[in-house]
Amino acid sequence: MRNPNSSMLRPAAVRPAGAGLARCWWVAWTLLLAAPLATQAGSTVMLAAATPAVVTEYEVKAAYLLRFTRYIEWPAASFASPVSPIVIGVLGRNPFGDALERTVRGMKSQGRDVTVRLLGGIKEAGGCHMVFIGRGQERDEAAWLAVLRNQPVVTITDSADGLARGAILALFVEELPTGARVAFAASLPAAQAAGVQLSAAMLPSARKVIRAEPEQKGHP
Amino acid sequence: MEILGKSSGREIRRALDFVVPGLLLPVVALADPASASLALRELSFEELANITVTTVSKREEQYFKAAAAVHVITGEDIRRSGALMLPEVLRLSPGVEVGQINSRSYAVAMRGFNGTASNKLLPLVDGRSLYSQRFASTIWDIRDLPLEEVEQIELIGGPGGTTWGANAVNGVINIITKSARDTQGDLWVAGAGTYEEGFLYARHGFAAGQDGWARIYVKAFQRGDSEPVNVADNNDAWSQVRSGFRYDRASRDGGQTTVTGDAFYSDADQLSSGLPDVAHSSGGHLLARHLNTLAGGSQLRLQGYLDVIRRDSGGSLSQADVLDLDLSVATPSAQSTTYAWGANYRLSRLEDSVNSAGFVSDFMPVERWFNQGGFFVEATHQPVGSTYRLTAGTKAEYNDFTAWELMPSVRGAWMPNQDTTFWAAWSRAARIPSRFENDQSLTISTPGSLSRTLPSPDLEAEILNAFELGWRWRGPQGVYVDASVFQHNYTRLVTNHTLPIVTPVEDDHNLENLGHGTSRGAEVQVVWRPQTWWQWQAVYTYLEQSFAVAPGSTDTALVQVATVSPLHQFSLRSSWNIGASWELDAWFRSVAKLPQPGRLIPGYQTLDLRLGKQLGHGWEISLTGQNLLEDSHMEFRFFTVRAAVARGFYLRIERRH
Repeated sequence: MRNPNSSMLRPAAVRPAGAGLARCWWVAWTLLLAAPLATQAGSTVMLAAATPAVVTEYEVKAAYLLRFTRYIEWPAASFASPVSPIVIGVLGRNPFGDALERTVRGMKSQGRDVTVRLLGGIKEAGGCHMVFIGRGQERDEAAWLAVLRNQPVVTITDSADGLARGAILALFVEELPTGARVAFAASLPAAQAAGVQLSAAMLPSARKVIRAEPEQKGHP
Repeated sequence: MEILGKSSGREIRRALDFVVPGLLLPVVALADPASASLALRELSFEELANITVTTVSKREEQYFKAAAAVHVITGEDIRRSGALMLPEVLRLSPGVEVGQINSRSYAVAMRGFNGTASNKLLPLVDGRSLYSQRFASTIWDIRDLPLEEVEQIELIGGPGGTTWGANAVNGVINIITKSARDTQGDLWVAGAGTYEEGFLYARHGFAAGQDGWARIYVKAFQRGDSEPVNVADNNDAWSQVRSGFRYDRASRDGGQTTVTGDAFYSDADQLSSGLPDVAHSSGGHLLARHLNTLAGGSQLRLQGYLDVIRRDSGGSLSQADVLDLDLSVATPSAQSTTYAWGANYRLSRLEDSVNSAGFVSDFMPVERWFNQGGFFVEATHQPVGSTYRLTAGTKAEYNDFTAWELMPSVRGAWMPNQDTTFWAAWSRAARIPSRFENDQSLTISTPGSLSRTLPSPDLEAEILNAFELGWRWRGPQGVYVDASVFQHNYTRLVTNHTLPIVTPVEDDHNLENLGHGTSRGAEVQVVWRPQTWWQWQAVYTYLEQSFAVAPGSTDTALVQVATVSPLHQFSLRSSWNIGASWELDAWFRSVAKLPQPGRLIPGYQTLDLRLGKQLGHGWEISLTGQNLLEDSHMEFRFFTVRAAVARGFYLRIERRH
């Protein structure tokens, strides 16, 4: 149903004013769109004064993972052949983006290639030599660590609390007055239970090393 | 923004799924990451331990440097809030007003213009619009989804028309669900309580073919009646069953495919002309999206979806079917000037028949096929190593009601150091008329009088010009501050127009664009994490609005828009991890009055508490108390519906394996 009066309802003054304003927007917008293009010539000057490169937490953590592969001894049976790669699994969320892939690409460790596998769940962790569990999954982490406890898999958590839940290694950020740094901690009893050997050469670099099983409360 | 135990760590690939061209995309080009990784791999443990790192993920970095009022609610924030309904979760962000009308209905808006017809807010789930072209609003109860599947919610204050087109006027709510890869395994949830009477959710995640993952879910709930204020019984309890799936595949060539779908059925008790009645709703959607890198490094995004809604309420039947196709391309982010462009098309089929005692509504045409679609182009300039970024772009979008609308924006950000961002923006947005405004003839008859609202096919789009300024800062000890101010100038706002009297008992009117107005506001968020196990978050929202009509207009409703939004809103939330297995959350909210003449809603203060315990082996139990400070309070009023929200408790049990 159309209203026969509709054309009369709109005061004549409104539309021209609106149209004029619309033209102004167009002009302003066109000018502003052109502005970045105009400044392009000047931008080469800015290039020289580049800000220092920012290193992200996970780029450093990826480098740690690669370095760990050189200081761990796995049982021979955990490799199909002498040239089988060392497989690093990322369990659950992948916080690395492609930083871990880029870090290990083309690198050798103990004469083996190093490869990365993104794991959808704990069931896919078989065949991995190291498993990294990112932050924000604490509720699943304890269960996953329990499953991997007696397998020859080096579990690495993304916070220092992970060692208490049974992880072998933990990477964590230390907030210092001079900025944030990445450090690691290790648990020898957890490594022993898994049947892997952490090289004595890496332990002095660890911020913390758990050397003995915590005393069991309630047991004489 | 930050949450306990998860301050960073997002896949950059996933960040590209929903990247807002202009708002977020350009920041990907922050540094040259490849060289950093290569240099690091030869370093010793000691050298690695001496490198100063940034703990902020690239995605968080994008939000931090965005030239827009972006706030993020994470899945973990949602879990710790204890809220079970999507609109209630939105209270976590500044800039949002959420008023519960009754058990089922919510008034949700950003930066004012609240109501059940909150027509200037555009919500989307995974890029699928929830906005109803039928009556220019979002029906939140039929858009429920399992909150356990929400990865995060981005709330973008101010116009988003350059990216999202029409109706992204005062804000955009971008709900992003988790990738199927992140929901592998099984999850069971069951709960019961006083108001949240019962709820069940079950999910199964599994590997699906080469490089593919999937999940399927079912969710069901029953919610009780709200507290009556002016009648004996509000009769507004309701229930819903929803089942859906998501499939994600990341192929070796870098392409990513996502397919989602769901179907739901809902029964809602209601009062129809004072008599008990049941409204039935059903519907579903199917969405597919593909992302890929083109030769030359450009990012291609292709998306299409179908969305179907059926509603039968008090004799009124409505059908809304939407087909939406979207394509966008962004040039490689490594260059100092990047371009994004795209095209979209949406076809809606809207069919209505309304017939109930006392009022008759006719739609012309009964079945409306509605076309909407257009183009956008955007350029971003950020020289490598520079501290500023400029973005300018526009969308030009056609629709069948008002033809072409132009939605340009210009945004700039200045980042003087790693921990500070200043930004400013100007943008223009358009809210196009709904089918209710354009097509409907509504006749309300009572003995001795007749009131008719006639169709208004000559309505034009409502226009907003927005000016915004913002500042973000992150300090030591997990301190994060985000503050923004805005001025919104509205023109061509829809107003009522009284038509010449035909007979003494008949009062006819239609709609015209004779309103204008201004709103000003501030949105502040402060996050502080004094310990890794303890986080505070404070949120403050200020909003003042004033509206007027052109000389000659007979409208009296527009000026009241300013009276249904609170002037001040404040909330304070503490999330505390006690030991390894206990969680204690407290959430205090204070909302100022809604001073609508004759319909005052008093201001209120309330508190939610949640106590959670991890029992091991994937079991979690939590007890939540909501609205604890008083027996009940009113939040929003819609015509004669006057309901209050009462104190409530519920117990929730979860099992993951």
